[in-house]
Amino acid sequence: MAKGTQNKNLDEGNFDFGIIKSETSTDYAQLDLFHRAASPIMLLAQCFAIMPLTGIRRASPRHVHFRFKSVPMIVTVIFMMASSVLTLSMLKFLLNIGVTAKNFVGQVFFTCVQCACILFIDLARRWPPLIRYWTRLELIFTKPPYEVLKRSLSQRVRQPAFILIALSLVEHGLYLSSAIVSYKQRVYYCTENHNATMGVSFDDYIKLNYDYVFILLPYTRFFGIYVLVVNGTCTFIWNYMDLFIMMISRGLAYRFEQISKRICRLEHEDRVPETTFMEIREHYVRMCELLERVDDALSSIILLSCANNLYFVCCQLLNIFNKLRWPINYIYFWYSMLYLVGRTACVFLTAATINDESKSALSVLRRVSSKNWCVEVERLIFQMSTQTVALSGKKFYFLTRRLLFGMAGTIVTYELVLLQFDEPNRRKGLLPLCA
Amino acid sequence: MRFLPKLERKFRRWKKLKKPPLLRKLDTLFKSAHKGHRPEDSAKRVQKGNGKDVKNELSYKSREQFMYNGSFHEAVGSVLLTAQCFAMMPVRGVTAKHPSSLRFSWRYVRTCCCLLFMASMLINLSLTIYKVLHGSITFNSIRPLIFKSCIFLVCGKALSLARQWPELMMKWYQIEKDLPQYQTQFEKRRMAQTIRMVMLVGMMLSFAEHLLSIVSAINYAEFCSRTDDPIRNFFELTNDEIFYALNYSAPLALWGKLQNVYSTFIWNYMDILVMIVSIGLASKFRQLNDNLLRFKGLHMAAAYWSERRIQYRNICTLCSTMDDAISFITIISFSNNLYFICVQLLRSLNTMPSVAHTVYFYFSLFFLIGRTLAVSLYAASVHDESRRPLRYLRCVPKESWCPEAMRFAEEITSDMVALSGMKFFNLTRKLVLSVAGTIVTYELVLIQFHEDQDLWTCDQSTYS
Repeated sequence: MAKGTQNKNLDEGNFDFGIIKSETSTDYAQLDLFHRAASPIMLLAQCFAIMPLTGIRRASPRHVHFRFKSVPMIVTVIFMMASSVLTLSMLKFLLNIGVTAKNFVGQVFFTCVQCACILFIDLARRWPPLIRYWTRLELIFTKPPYEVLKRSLSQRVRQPAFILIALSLVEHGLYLSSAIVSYKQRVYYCTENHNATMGVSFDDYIKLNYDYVFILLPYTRFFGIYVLVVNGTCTFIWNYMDLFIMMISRGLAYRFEQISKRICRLEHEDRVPETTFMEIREHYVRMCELLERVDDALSSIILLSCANNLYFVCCQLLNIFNKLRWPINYIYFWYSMLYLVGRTACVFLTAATINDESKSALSVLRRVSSKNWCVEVERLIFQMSTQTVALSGKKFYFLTRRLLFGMAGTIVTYELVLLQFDEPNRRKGLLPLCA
Repeated sequence: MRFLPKLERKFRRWKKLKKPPLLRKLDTLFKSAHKGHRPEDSAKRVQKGNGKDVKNELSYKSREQFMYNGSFHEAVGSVLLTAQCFAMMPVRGVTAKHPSSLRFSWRYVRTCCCLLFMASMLINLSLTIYKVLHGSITFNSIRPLIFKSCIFLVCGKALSLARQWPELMMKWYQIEKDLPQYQTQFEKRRMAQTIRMVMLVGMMLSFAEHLLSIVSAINYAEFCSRTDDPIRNFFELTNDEIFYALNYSAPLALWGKLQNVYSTFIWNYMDILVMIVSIGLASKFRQLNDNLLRFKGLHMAAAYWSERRIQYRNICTLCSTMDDAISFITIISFSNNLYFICVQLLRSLNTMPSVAHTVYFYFSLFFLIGRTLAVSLYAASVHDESRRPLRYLRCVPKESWCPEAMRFAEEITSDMVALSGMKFFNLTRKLVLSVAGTIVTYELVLIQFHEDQDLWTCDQSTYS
C-alpha cells in the first residue's frame, strides 16, 4: 500500500481523500502531447542555437529547464557573437558605399535573425512554466470522451517541419549552386574575352561574395568557412521563426478541433444533460486561457515574422522584371520567390485554423433542440461568437483568414507603386561583367 | 555632560534592537497610532536640538504627506503646475488635497498670462502667414504655419478645458470613491508614478531636442554668416518670419526666442496631456479589473455583479466625458504627428549640411515617432482594459450565473469604450497599424514628387 502512494504522480493533483490510488503514474511517453510532438524539432533547433533549454528529450515536461550555465546557452551565445560580427561589418560596408533600397536587404536579413535569436531566448525563459501548464491542460484531452482525430497530433505537428526543412535545404542548395556557377562562368568569360587573369578558387569566391565581412576581419581559410557556417545557421533561424509558429498553431488547433468534434457528436443524441455542456464550456474556457498565455509569450516573434515576410516578399517581387545572366539564376530566383510566398501564406493559413476551429461548432450549437437547451449552451454560443480566439501580433492584429486577404491587397498596392520607381534602373539592363 | 545624551541614545538603540522584530513593529504601530502628537513633538525637539539630531529634523514632515490616496487629482497636480508655468491650463488649486479647491476665473494672474501668450502667438502666426504667402507654397514650406496654428488652437482649447476642469475633477472624484479601493500604498502609488515618469521623460527628451536644435542652428548660422554679429545671425535664422517683415532689434529677438521655447513645450504637452488622461482612465478600469481578478471563478452573489456593473458603467460615462473634453486636442495631436512624420521622413532624403544637423535631425525624428507611438499605445490601453472583465465573466460558475452577470457581459461586448478623435476614429491598437500603413503609403507617393533640392543654401531661409 505504501509503495502505491509513493508511486503516485504528484502532477495529477487529484487526491481522493481516504482512497489510495493504485494506478501507475502517468506515462508521458505514451500520451499524444504537444511537448512530445515538438521536442525532436526543438532539439534540432538547439543545434542551430535557438531556444536554449535543457531536458527537452525527457517525456515529462517537468524536466524542462532554462539555465544560463548549460551547453545550449553557450552555443547560443557563441552564435550571437559570431553573427553580430557579420551584422556590424555589413553595416559599416553599407555606410561606406551608401544605403539604397536594393542593398539594404542583406542588413535587414541579419538584423532580423539577431532579433529572432534574442526573442527566442526570451521565449525559452518563459517556456518551462508554459509547457507545464499546457501539458496539464492537455491531459484532459487525452482521455475519453475526447477521441484521437484522423491524423494524430504528432503527425500534424511534425509534417510542416519535414516539408519546410526539406524545401529550405533545396533553396539553400540552389542559392549556393547559383552563386558558384555565376562565379565560375564569370571567371571563364573574363579570362577568354578580356584577358583578365583570374583563377577559380575557394578563397577568391569567398572574398568576392562576402567582401563586406573582410573589412573587419582578415582573410584566412578558417574565416571563410566560418562565414559559410554562420550564413547557413542564419538561414535556418530565418525559416525556423515561421516553422515554430506553424507548429504551435497546429498544436492548439488540434485541441479546439477535438472540442468541436465532441460537440458535433452530441447532435445525434437525444437527451444531453446540462453537466455535459458545463464540462465542454469549462474546457473551452481553459483552452482560450491557454491560447492567451501562449499568445503573450509568442506575440513578439509573430510580429517580427510578419514584418520580415512582408518586407522580403515586397523586395523579391520588385525584382520580377529584372534581367538575369544565366539560367541557374532564373531557376534560383523563381524557386526562392515561390518558396517565400508559399511559406508566408502557409504561416497565415495555419495560424488562421485556430480561429476557424474555435468557431466550427457554432452551427451545431445553434441547432440544439429546445429540450436540451440550457444556460450553458447560451453562454457557450455567446463566447464563441463574440470573442476573437486567435494568435495575434502584440494585439495589433489577429491572425485570421481576413488578415491574409488584407495583406495580399497591401502587398499588391505597394508593388504597383514601387515598380514605377524602379523603371529607369531596369531599363539600363545588365551591367558589364568584367571590371 | 555632553556624553550623556549620546550614551542615552545608544542605550535606547541597544534596547530597541534587543527586542524581536515583531515587538518592534508593534511599538512603531503604537507610536503612529498617536499620530497627533508627533508633529508637535518633532517641532519641539527641533527647537531644542538646533539640528544636532539629524534624524529628528526629517520628521518635520508628517507621514501623511508621503502617503498617496490613489486619486487622479493628486497624481496630475504637479504635472498641471508645470504646465501653468508655460501658460497652459490656468486653474488654481491643482496641488490641493481635494478637487473641490479647484477654481478658475478670468481675473486670476495665471489666466491673464495665458491670454497674453495667446495674443502674442496670434501676432507670430500672422507674421508667419505673411511670409508663407510671399514664398512658394509646397508641402515643405507650410511646415512653420502648421506648427504655429496647431499650437494656437491647442492653447485656446486648453483654456476652455481649464474652465471645465474643476467640474471634471469633481465628477472624477465622485466616481473614483465608489470604486473598490486599493489596500496597499504600492498599488495606490502606481498611477501617480506612471504619470510623473511620463512627464519627466517627455520633458527631458524634448529639452534635449531643443538644445540640439540650438546647437545645430548655431552651427548653421556660423556657416551662413550674413552679418557680423553672430547673435544676430542666430536669431535671424531661428525666427526668420519675424525679421522678414520687421527690422532686427534685441527685444524682438528675445520675444521670438521666448515664443520658440513656449511653442516647443506646448507641442510636447499636447501629447503628454492625452497620455496622462489615458493613463488615468486605464488605471480606473484596472482598479475594477484587479478586484474582479481576486474573485475570479468564485461563487459571488447577484448583488456583487450588480455593483460591479454599475461601477463599470460609471467609469464608461467618465471616459466619455473626458473624451468630449479632450477630443479636439487628441485630433490635433494626431494630425500634427502624422504631418510632421511625413514631412521629416521626406526631408531625410536630402543631403545634410553638417554632422550636428544630422544628429539633431535623426534624434528629432526618432523622438517624434517614439512619442506618437507612446500616445497611441497609452490611448489604446483604455480600450484594452475596458474589455478585460469579459475574461473574468466567462469563468463564473454555473450556479452563480445570474441575469446581472449576463447583462454585464453583453454590455461589455456591445459597447465601444475608447478615447476618440472627435468621434471620427477610435483610439485602439488597430488604429496604430492603419496609421503606420497610411504613413508608408503617403511616403511612397510623396517620394515621387521629391526633387533633391538643396534645402540648405544660405539665401533660402527655409531652415526652421
